[in-house]
Amino acid sequence: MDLKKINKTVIVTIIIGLLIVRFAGDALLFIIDKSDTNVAILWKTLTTLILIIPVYILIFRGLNSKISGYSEEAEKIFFLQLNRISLLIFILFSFYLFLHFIKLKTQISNNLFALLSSEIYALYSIILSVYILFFIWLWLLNKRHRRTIFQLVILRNGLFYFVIVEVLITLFPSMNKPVVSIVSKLMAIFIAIVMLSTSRNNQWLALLPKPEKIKLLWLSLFVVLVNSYITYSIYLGNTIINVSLLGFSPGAISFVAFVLGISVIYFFRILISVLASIPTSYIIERKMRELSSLRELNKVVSDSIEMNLLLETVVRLALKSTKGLAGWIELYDKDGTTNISASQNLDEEKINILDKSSELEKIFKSLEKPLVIDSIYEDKILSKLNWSVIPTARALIAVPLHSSGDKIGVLVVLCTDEYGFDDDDVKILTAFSDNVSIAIENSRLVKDSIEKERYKQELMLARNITEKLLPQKLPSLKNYHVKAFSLPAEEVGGDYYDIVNLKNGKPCIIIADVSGKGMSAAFYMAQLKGVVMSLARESECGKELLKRINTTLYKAIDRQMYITMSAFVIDNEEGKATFARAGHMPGLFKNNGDVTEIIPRGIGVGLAPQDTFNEHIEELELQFKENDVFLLFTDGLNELKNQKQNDLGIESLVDLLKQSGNDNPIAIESKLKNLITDFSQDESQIDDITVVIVKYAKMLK
Amino acid sequence: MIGDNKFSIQHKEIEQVNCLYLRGYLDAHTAPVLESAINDIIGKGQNKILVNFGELDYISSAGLGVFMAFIEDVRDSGGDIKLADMKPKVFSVFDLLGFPVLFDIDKEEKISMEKFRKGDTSIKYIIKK
Repeated sequence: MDLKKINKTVIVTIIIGLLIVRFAGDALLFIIDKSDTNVAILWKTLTTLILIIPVYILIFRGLNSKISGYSEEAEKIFFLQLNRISLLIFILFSFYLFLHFIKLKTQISNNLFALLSSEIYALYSIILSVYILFFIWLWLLNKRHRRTIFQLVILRNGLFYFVIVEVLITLFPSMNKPVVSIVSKLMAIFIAIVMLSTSRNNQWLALLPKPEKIKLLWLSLFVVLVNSYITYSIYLGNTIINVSLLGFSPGAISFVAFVLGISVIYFFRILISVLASIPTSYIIERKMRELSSLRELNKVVSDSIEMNLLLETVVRLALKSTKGLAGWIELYDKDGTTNISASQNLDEEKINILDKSSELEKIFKSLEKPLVIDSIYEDKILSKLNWSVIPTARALIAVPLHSSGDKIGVLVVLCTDEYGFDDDDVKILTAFSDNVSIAIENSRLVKDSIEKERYKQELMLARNITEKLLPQKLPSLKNYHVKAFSLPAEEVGGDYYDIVNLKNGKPCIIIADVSGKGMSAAFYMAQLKGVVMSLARESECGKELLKRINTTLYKAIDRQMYITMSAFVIDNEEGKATFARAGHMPGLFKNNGDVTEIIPRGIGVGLAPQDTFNEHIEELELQFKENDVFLLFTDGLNELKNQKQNDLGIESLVDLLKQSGNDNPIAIESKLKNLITDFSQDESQIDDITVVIVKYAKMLK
Repeated sequence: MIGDNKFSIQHKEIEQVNCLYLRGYLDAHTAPVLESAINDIIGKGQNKILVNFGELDYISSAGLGVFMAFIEDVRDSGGDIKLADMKPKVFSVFDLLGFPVLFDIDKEEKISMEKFRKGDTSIKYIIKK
């Protein structure tokens, strides 16, 4: 039967109902003066039996799920119940003394009120007994193991049957033959053995904090004494409790005596365990404190990237686990200066006053292993320091902090007792210093990665800007159809293309590649755009524009930097164009279905001074026919690598153009992009790719 | 020999001419190796440098930049950097950029050596920034 599902109020109502019926019946029996008859005994026994079942259910319902395993919460519940049970036993005891004092025993037979009082007392002691069982039950659950459930089942059900047997024996005295009596006694012994054997796991008591142990000690002592007294008085017979229990129900007396007897032994065991663990509790508590400090520290180390918070925590925990008075952490900068990075109960100013001569700092910096000064006033050097800033300090411990082999600082703790630090303190502080080293390392790594991330973002920003320097939309030109695209490599690059108008209004297509990659290339590219925009308006032809650009930029750019560029100028709507080149890749001219590389002479911009540059640049004239195509590109395209590190090569581009038929520039663009993807596969693109496709067609398909 | 599998330089001194034999890939990653090799030579007060490209498979724009970085100083001091024995593919990179106008680029090392011996510089103008 699932006791949990039974509603509490229903049970309480049943109990109260039964009690009222019971008391009414008792009163009636008293009034008609039939209290001592067999009928009266039958009535009492039966009602008690019926009463005990809901009480039992009420107390034991849902217990298995209430506490699982050993936990702080289980401990809390346990202590709550222990307090309650002590109070209840105290009430029982007071009640007992009170009833004894008013000599209730002698009045029971001739006073209805006295009779009912004794019955309430008996009922109370029965309920208390069940409650004590419940407590022992809790205790068992508190340190549960595989066999606990089995023991609990025996205990609970065994007790229940024991109660029934006891009651039945008294109900039917004819049954009270030696065999039944022996069975009942054996059952009591069996249950007692089970209870005592399950209580052997009391080691966890040793882990309780000292104040709780003391509390437990007094409470269990109280329970042992009071319960012994009551059990003894039951054993003596003819006391008020005997009379009451006998008057309430003949079977109740052995049940209550049994439970109280068990509880005495049980609590005595608790008492002994606690008593035995008190002398060692200092060490155990200390170990627990160390453990919890280290655990907390580990948590902080793994969670926190905030250095100061971490160091503060370390000092605080160091004080907590060594019972230190004050402490601080000094960290050494790369340039050798020392910073007080965290302190407790002593501020930086005071530490500086204390160590005015920097003697302490010098000692700390030379530390290779932990230093313990048992008495600061007996130490030659330390005694000279200005200890008035912290007059209660007597001993000092200093543990060096290391990070990747370097000494990075020191953790210092002071305490109020001479010889106040022992080996354990050194050990725990060393463990702390290891953790701090890890934390410092971590925080440095995090900082690094944040910086890297920031750099990456700035690079992205730069890339976005350089992308915006390229034309968003190309102007439409009569009879010439231009399509361009730029595929930047991962880093910012220096590819540029544009269409500008020359002085005479002729459109000029510019393609350029700044040598190198990265920020510098991007900056030169931005500079180039400005230069192109302004110089185009003053130039009559592509060659002149390139000359002017070189003149302007030659002195402005770094020695090892240069810009290769080409200028393609559309001279008229009838297909006449000119092409000039400054060190740039050839132009590919698809003319009448044939493809040729157009390579006018020309040195890269920035490589040669004005005279040399101007002397060696030439311009070629081109005559376009319907469906002719001109392809401008940067070396990122022909030097595109595949997985075997082979170049795409200009030949592939020539082939692509040859096979493009009468494709419009959009179709050529998509073919080129497919070629790029197919060729490079998963190989990453190392240089920017920029392509400008110019097609001459009066009637574009 | 300095460098690694990707790029290496062998340095020989023949008749006061510092010959650098390049091998492998000269790009942005390996350019510093060449840069420091040339720096070493200039640091010793020497200014006749012959770069042999015979075993060089590839050169990128950053590789070309190295020569640009030094040529001015070397010529100022009366020396020269001459380039020789390029594979066609490498030469075309130099050629496209217009290097033949700026540098002595010879088919064979011995032609360059001969020029050094005679003190002949076919590049007439001075690059100066």
